Amino acid sequence: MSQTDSKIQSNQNLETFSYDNAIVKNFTIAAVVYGVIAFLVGLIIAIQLYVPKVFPFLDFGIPYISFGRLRPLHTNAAIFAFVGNIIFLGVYYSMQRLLKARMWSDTLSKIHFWGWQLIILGAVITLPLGITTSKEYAELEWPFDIAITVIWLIFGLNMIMTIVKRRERHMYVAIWFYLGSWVAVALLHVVNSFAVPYNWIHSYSLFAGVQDALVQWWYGHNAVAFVLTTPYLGLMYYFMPKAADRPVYSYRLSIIHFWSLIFLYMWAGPHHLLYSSLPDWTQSLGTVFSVMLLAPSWGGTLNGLLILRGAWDKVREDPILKFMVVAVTAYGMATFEGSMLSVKSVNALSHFTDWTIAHVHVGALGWNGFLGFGILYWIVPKLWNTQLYSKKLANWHFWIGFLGIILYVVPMYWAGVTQGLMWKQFSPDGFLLYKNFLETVAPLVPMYIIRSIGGSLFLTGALLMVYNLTRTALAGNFVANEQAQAAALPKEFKEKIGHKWLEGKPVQFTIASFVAVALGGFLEIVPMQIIKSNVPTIPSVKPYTPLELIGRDIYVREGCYTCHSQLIRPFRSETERYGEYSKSGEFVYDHPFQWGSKRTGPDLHRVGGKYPNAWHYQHMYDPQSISPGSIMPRYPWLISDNYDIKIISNKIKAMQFLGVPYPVGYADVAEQDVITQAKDIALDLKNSNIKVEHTKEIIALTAYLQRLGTDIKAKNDGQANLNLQAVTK
Amino acid sequence: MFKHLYSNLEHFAIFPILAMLIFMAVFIGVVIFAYKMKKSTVDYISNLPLEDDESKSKNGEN
Repeated sequence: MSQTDSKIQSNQNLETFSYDNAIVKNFTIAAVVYGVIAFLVGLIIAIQLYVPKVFPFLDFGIPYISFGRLRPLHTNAAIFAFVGNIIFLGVYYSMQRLLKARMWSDTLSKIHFWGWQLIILGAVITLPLGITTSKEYAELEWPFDIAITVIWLIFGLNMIMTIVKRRERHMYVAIWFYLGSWVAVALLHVVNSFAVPYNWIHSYSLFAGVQDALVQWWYGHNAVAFVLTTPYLGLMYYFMPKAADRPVYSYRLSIIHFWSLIFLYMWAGPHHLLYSSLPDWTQSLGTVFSVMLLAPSWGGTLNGLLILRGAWDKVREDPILKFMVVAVTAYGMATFEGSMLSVKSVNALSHFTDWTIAHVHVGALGWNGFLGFGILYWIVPKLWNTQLYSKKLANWHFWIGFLGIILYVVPMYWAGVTQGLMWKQFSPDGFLLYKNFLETVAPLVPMYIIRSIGGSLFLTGALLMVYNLTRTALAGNFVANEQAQAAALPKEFKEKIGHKWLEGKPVQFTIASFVAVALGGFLEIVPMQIIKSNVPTIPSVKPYTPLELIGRDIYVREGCYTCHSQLIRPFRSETERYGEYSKSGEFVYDHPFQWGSKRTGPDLHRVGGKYPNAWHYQHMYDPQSISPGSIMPRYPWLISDNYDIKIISNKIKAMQFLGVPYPVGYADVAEQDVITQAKDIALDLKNSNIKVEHTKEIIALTAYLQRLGTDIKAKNDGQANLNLQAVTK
Repeated sequence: MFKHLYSNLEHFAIFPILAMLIFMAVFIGVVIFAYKMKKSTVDYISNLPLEDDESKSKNGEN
């Protein structure tokens, strides 16, 4: 210290200040805790996929832990709690040091921390309760959406003001990534969360059907882009040079990497909707931009890996570098695969299968998990001013985690390709070879079992890390305010940097990033929203009856969309199996859309009228009794619980506000329609020797399922429509 | 290519051209910007993460 001290002393306009390490510590603890929770919930839902078949006695039939409710908890915990907190700890640590300034406001930092953790706590409570918007990775309901917006703005304000008050004239590229991501997430979150509340916690999406799907996957893909990728790249550009003790390979390349990524990512969303009823031009745009994304992604991958040029020998010994190298390699693989999966012919096979799950987890476990672990192992000894408790244990974590990833993704690729091919397999006579969907599920069960072994290994590794980091922290001495010295920026510096206005001024920079990301959204989404010809109307498609609407909300609550799509693609293999392919005009009253993204079970878009009411009753009560070998969980509470009929007038009013053409004043009389239709279904069930009151949730859900996909069948005499018209008169 | 994608959107014919021009302009601009940076600046910025906080503060000198 003394040598460097004397150098510093020689500088005249030196300022003494301190870095806020307390905020970094808080986010570090939160990241570790939520990481374990996210992995654990992931493991639980992985096991749930084979419990009904292998260990039926373990299906407790408890609503709060059923797959459809826990899956959003897993994804939200992994994305926003684990990765989110890793990002924040990295941003708060690196930004202060790169800018040679303490965060602008300790209070804002604290509000950010506690606000974010409260929102996560809210998610942990509400998602198992079935309070969800059903929009993937945006499941939290409207009060949380507002809270997220406020906390996000606070985080951004704190960042921008810290940049304004900095002591370092240049903004290192990591900060570009942080700011760009912040702008993009703000835009995506706000637009995708537009909704009309119908009570204090529930809402309907502002958009419907195809438009809702486009907005959702514009958001969904960019949750991957601007939460899981770009801020993490910022972390890579800071922490990898730190860990390897050598600078980034090409700083120039990192600049091109940044601008190309944020420009291209925003357009890529529609690759989640290939072969859907989204207009072709939008699908093609999504494909083209997704393929183009490969270039900057691999530029960044190489730039990251080449940080280690001449230092590869260190990788052999240092577990931190091992984690980071695998992470960046996984980033390269996942982005290559992402571009390939966006090609329509590949997507035709991969979509709706476990291939997507494998792809996602190469990114989540490999890139996000391992880079996160590397950063944690690096930062905890720094914060507590000590050495890592056990390098050996960290090496064990690396190998156990690595094996865990392999055992996770390989069976999932296997399962995905197997099932994708089986769905499309025709016999020589021209019939589907595996007509019964369940035949394509049975071969996957062993893969699901191996996957859960992989998941447990990954979790075990993480637990080793918790122990290792705890021992490290206990042995060290935490310094909440780390002293630092740096010269203030000279006043004339603004003129000096002249052409470098972008990296010099955070506000201009933020605006430029906003323009870059908003452009994609604007040019893709606006035409889709305002040009009517994009969604050809079908006269026979009518709004849901109030009972069906109640049933639909139960469908949303139970997260049925996590395993069942409502989107039949225009392939012969699908029209043979499910019926007429889906048309965009069929979804015009679907607030929110329920297309889903995964077929763990069959598509349900044309399930209406396919089975008798009694079938649905039995199937919900005990799926295995109707479909032996099914892996669907039981839903006994649907049979014992009553639906809330009082709220229907609010629901109808919200729908009317959204433009669904219920007659004026219908909200006041909708209850009668609910009862009439419910009694009809209860009577029908009674005729099948099933005694159930018309007030039970199963009745409403059955009504909804029986309506699905029936409107285009020209008869236009659905029981449902008749009821509605009776009230109109 | 973009024109083809937007071909059924008469009122928005200007969009694809705009999008392409903006994208090309920004991309070329960024590449020029990146390669016109002075080597000393590039080296200086690349080393920012490696400055060990208080010990090596070079306080903004190139």
